[in-house]
Amino acid sequence: MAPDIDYLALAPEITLAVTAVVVLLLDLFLPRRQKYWTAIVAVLGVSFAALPLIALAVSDVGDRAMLGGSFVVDDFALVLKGLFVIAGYLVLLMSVGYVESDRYYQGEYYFLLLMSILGSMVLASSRDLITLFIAVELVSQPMYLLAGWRKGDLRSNEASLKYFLLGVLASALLLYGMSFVYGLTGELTFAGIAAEGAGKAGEPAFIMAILFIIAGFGFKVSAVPFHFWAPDTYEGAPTPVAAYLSVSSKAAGFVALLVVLYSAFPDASGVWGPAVWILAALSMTLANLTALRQTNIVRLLAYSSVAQAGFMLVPFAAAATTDAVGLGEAFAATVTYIVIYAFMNLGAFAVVIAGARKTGTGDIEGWGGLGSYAPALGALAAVFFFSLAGIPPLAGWIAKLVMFGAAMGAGSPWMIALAVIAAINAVIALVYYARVVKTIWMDPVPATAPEEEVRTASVAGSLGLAIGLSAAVVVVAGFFPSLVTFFSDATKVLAGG
Amino acid sequence: MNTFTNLVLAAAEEAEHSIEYGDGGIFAEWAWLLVIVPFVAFVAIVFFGKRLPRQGGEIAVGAMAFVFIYAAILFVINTVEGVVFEHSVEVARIGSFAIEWGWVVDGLSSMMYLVIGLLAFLIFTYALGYMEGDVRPTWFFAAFTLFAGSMLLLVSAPNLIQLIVGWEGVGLASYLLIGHWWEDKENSSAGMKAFYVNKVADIGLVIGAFVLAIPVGSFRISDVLDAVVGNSGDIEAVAFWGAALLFIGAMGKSAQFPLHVWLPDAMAGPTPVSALMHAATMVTAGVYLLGRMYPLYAEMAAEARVPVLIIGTITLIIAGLLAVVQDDIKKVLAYSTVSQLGYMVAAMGAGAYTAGLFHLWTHAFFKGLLFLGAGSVIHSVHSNNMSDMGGLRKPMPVTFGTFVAGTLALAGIFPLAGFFSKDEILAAFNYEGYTAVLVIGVVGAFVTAFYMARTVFLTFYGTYKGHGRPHESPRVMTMPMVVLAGLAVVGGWVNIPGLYTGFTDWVGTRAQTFAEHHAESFDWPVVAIGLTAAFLGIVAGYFLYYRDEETQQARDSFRIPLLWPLLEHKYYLDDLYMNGIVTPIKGPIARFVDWTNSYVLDGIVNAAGFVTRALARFVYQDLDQRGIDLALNGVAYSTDDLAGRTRLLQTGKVQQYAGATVIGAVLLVIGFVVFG
Repeated sequence: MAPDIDYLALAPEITLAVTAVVVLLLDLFLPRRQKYWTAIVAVLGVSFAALPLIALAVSDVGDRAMLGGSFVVDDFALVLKGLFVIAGYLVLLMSVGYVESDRYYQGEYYFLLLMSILGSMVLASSRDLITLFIAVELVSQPMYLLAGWRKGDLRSNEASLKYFLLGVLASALLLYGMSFVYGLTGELTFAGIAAEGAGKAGEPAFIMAILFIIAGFGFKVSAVPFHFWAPDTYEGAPTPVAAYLSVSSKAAGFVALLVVLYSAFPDASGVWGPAVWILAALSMTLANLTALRQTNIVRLLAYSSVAQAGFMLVPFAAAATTDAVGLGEAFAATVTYIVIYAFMNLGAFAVVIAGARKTGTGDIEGWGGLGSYAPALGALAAVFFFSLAGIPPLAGWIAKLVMFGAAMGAGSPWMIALAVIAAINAVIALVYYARVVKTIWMDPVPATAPEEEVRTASVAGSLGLAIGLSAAVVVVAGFFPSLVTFFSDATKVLAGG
Repeated sequence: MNTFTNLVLAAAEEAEHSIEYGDGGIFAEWAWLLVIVPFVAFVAIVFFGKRLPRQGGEIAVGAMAFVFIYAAILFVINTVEGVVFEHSVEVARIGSFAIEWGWVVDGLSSMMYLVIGLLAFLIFTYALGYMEGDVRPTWFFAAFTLFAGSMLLLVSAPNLIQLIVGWEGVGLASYLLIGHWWEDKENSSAGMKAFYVNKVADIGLVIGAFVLAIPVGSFRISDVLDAVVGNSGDIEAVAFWGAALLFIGAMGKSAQFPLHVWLPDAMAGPTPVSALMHAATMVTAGVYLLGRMYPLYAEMAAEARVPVLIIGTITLIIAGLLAVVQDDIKKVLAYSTVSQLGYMVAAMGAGAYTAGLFHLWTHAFFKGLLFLGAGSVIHSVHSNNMSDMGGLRKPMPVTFGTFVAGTLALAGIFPLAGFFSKDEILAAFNYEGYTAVLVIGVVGAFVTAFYMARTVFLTFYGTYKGHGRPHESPRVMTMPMVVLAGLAVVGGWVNIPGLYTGFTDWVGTRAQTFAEHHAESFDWPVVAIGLTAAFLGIVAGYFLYYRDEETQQARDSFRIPLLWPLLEHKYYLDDLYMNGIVTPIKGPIARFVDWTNSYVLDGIVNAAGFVTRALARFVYQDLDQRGIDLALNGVAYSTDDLAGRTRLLQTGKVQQYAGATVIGAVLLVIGFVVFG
């Protein structure tokens, strides 16, 4: 008997999968000059994938579960899918000019990117270990290839290989942990694991399994000490791919962590809470200190994204010490942070792509005086970098506020200590974010800057659109935070809050 | 339901809660315009400023004129009937907390609105003349409007979140303004310094806000203070820590020792910025915060007043002494501001709410005036250094006259504004029995009078030592100075013990009241001592700097043994911060972390790698050689091959990174199994 399939619930994924295949086929038949059609189809496909999401959001059927509860479309899944679609859309916009200028393998590029987006969509709905693992791999595998897309560049090769080798290791750790969970509980679905594992929180094997799973996802979200690949990979990969890695791929890792920890191991929060506490403190502190010494803007953003992952982990740590309501709030705090971070970090990367074209360099020093010959770009860079630093009224401030609220609300001395660590780190982070803005606006144009025509050349339309959209969200959500908190509140269903 | 209906409903509700005060009517309900207008003006200047004849300056001045007039109306309404009005609009919900935007009209805030509106209006007008021909006047006026708007946002805040937003906005705008002439690297670094020092202090404010809000379940200041006054909830347990943490935030903005180091450097900004920053915005924010939260400090967290009093007292004397050795006229005034802020904070710490705010009020007039005067002089002689000035009394009569009025007011000479407010603070020290603080306060009064006398004599008397011909500034600059001079004379007459104490009543109208001692009449011994100290200071300045015109400047280099080098190096605080905190973090600590990342972890991993290799050799020689299956050999071979290629790509670190990942996971597990 064929399983009962709810096609509307699967429509976003189906749309993406069909688009990906169409892109691949188109690439076969299109003459070289018209390869840009693959980009157009990809952008359209991702846009269309959003339509069924809206239909699902307004329908009053409630949660749609299928395949024995392995694939669930609830409010949490919808919100995160929406985020993945929008982030994917922005990355596609950023990619158009970038990939075209490289002139090769456009079709494959978009195919792989679409597959990765598809993986993240499935991930948001997966509610058992196998579906989750396959989704996570589907997010990552295309990225191993895309990180090495600039084939002629040795650093891109290095980026790809490093990411691949370490990614495989992380997957192995993850799978190892999962196998223990299965062995101990005999269950694959999260609901089943939660029921079976309730009394096992103290068993060493169970603890080890949870910690291995955290380590595996720690790699995906690039938390210290699982972050080593990030700076090298970001620097070597094509910049839009780095943007995707730092936002969508990282968000996917967080979604996986959220789903697994909160819905499969709610009773073991005494185990994973402290473990995440350590990861959060380490990630914030070490990454921020290292970022202080970076001279390359992409590497700076890489360490910044590691530090931001630390901030996102803070509410997880709070979950260990609070009641059910607090659990829901910690959950919503992380989701809020992820949503806001996605827009400000994509914006920052988009600005870096545009800026690198104008200044001809990724060295921060070479960006001096950018504000004088490209004032709009300079102003937007200030918006994104100040938002990352958490300066009100930009949206990044709301993210930090929510994070502090979750940490302080838990009330335990450990969480207050973590909140203080986070506050100190916010100041350290400000130093390097503000330094970039200062260089752009207050330093003189360096002698090595390219000629006038390059510097004042207009930014590609699609890239400009990506920057504009991200900036609009970052500014508007700062003034009307309910635009974001409305969605993150809806995701609390998963934490039982 | 639209916003307007909300307003009306809330007004009705407020009227029920607070029967003893008026609700301020339509003006209080529309007071949100005070905050919105400057921000609208900011946007307008950014987009249209360049096309206007004055590059956007007219929009800025117009907005401030509106703020001033509106604030004056509110102020008058408050003097007539006493207004307590508060309204909040929910913007978002974060967990159980509402994030709100709103505005407060009560005695304290309407006093601040008036000070900000009046000073900003006058200083913006002055800036029209001062900034003429500047490299980027549009940018200047935009940032200046943002500065004033953020301060109004802060003052109007009915909740701690909005207060923090305004607080950060003030910090950001000050960074832009201090570094305004960023072509000079020193200026942009001064801006950064102000930003960072404030940011460090803000940690205290943010954590303190959460500490107080969480037991109450609300960020509303009125809810927190209601809980404090009614002693409800768990607030008592955290009151001290909350109050102390908020004070750390206040120390940053109000430049209290040892976080005052940013303020003198902030003089790098254009003089109108310094004037506004020192008179009405930014530095008064810390004192305002203490005033806004005063019911907390008055009773429940009275122990937190002890550090407030101590820090304020230290600040007033050490900054006063620093002002004596400065050659840069703006730095004299900057340290003077730090010192006067010390008086205000110490007054708050001593339990004298009204006296502290009264000094804020009078200080706004005469310090604003002195900065504008200094700016007028600098504009004319093109130097900040008093060694380039002298003899300016004749060519700049208006500047001279108003500057002297400001000097006498600051020195606390009867019957000018500073006399009344400083006397009230000293009297409060005496009443509360803080004799040591009283002595330091009196010595501070002497020092204040001395350095101001020195400044006047070095700048306006003797012979001119600069270049070119000094000239009086245009009317657009002198008119604001004349108005402020008038206020510096009469500004203190609103609170004369035993005669007329209007000011006490104005700032006393607020929703949460607290007990405070108000003297029936002057404390005559204190008046006598304070006035004597001020006169002695002026006389000492006269003897040292006036008598012999020719050697005036030479006398400036007189050295106080031991103390002088200490003062010249600003108590070595900057060196301490740079060498003790900033450099280590930027240099060794960051480098250490960097280094640990790439070497120590690598070392551990290398060791692990070594063990693995040894193990592999053992496996190879002892197991493999004895003929275990060939497939294993193949796997080993291909791994080796891959590793070789990796090394060719100079990615030898991959194994180490991988090792770190594994070790991280294993350490976590071991940690939990052993300690968990």
